[in-house]
Amino acid sequence: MDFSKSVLIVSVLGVLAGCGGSSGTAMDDGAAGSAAGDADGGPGASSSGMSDDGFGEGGAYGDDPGQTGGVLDSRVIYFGFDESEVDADSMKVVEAHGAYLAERPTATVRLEGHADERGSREYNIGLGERRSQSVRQILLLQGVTSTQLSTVSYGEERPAVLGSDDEALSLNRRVELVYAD
Amino acid sequence: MADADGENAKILVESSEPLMSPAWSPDGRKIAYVSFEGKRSSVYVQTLRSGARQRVSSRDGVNGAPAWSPDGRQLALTLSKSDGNLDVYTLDLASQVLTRLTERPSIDTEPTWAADGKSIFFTSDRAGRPQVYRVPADGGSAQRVSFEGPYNARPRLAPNGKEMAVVHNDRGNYRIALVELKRGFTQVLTSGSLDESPSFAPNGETLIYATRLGERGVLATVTTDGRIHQRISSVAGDVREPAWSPYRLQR
Repeated sequence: MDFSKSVLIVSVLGVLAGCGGSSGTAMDDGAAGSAAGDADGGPGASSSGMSDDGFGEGGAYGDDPGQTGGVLDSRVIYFGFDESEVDADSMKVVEAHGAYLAERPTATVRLEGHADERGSREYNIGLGERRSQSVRQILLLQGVTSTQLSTVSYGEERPAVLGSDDEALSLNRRVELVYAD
Repeated sequence: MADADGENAKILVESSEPLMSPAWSPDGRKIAYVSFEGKRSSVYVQTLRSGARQRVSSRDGVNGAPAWSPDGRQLALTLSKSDGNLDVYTLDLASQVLTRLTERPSIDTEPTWAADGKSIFFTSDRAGRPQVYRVPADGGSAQRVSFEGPYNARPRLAPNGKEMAVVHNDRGNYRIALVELKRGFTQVLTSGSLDESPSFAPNGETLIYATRLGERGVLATVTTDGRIHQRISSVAGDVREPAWSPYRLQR
């Protein structure tokens, strides 16, 4: 049999995404197809003194609220198996972030959606995106403008926790709120 | 890219952001894949000989699951655009004309072409959980083609066009199954719990797929009659998403 037996594979070196790993891609980009860019908000807002909303000043860097011991310290929303609805406890966290962002129209946040490792990868991209969109809708209802929000889904590609037990799986079904630096 | 036994591995693309869904063009000269560089998903096409690559879709939202048409002129792909809802499209690479094939609020993704180029099979959860559907390549209504089990996704058609390999939930385990298209008869071929990414050898007699050895991702093969299983000695790291090259690979 004469056929050439080659296989494309994806190989991940390094354990968790975000660890070291090789530096960036080698090749030049050719002309791009139509590339609709993200509408990120402008540069991070500088904090402008005390506000009455109980949140205190913004963090030291740009939009980030920093770690102040309050509800805004929570940056991860978790989801049940196959679920993309935000539960009641998580709703409070999302609403707090919504109020924070609504007060700071130039502040931006990226909603990074994830799924656990079961099942097919591209379908899991869909689950992660559904979760990001779910959080996004709540933020919009709080008065955040759409230009303050961007979403990305990593599906199962960036687990927070390795492992196949139920606890690991549940920690990977999530949306992370990542504030711009 | 590696030989089918895992030897002679050669790096084609490197990134510190995730890469997914490699797909050979029918003439074996190019690959399409998804990259998350810049913290967004984009579809790239890369020419193997030169290494030159072109970003072919970087629209708002998800850009994913590229699949070459049999004549190599189009890519089927998944886009969510600004409405946040994943759907299947075809993109003519020369004209850049985008044709939308699904419009449901469900997740519609993982397109793959029939050998005659006239229909596209894809995953949809419009019935609640993922199943496989077929739609005419130039648009029309989709018909369900998987009927056994609560979860069937990520279809790949056998070269004979009569059956497809899928990721199938078998009593809680994710395994590779062969679905006969005429009657929906489903045969589970593998025995792991997190098996995925099946790809047919050009002669249709073997499937390569991704499985786990402990926590590590490795590749394995199984003959389509389910009888012979082999594990492939892998390259370094955690290996996933194998795609078998087309019959006539020109280098």
